[in-house]
Amino acid sequence: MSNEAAVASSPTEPRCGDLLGFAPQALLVPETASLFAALATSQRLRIVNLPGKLPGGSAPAGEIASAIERAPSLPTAHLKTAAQAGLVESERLERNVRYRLRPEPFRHLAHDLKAAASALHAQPIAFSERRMDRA
Amino acid sequence: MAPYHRKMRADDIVTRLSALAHDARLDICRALARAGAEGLAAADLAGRAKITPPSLTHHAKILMHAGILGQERQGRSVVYRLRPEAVGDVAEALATLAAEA
Repeated sequence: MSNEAAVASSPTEPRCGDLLGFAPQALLVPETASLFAALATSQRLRIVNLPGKLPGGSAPAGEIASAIERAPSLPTAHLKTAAQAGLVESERLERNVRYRLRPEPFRHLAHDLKAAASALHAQPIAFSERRMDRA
Repeated sequence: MAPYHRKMRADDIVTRLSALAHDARLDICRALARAGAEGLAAADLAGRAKITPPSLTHHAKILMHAGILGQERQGRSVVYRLRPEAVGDVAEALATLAAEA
């Protein structure tokens, strides 16, 4: 989290942290919209979150299907979409393909968004005050 | 099944994530993040996000519905700003997902 320290102590860029505009991180990459899109269904969010709650942090689609009481084809389809967006990874163990969430894109997005929110909180200029200043 | 995030309901976070799942809307958010708490007037914002004013109106509506954008009328123009609470909520939900992996 060294980037956060840099954000807080940088007087030259008080308006924008390490965030949506200047950061080399998640929110700047062209695929950012697809990352959000891959997360933007409640079912898929739940499915990608499940392996982390199971022993070993990974699970085959069948196990995820049992946990949510649905046919295996449902988690398989969602996990495929999530994997294409880089949000989950899979490994083959004997006859099973096990899935796990990749925390990195989540961390990067969270970091950038947090920096954006902090930068905005750090400058509480109300609309009305701004207008009065200029009047 | 425990909720994956204790503060926000899944529906809320999904609405916010879908609102962010679009290049033009991300460009709007980036421009507003750079502009800071003062926000930007519609015409200025459309220019910086490189979209037409009607397109801005459309996408801003979606972002406002998700709580990510706030809007205020100032004289004859509309000023938009990013709502840090909503942005922080999304950050927290994503950080929770990463921590549970």
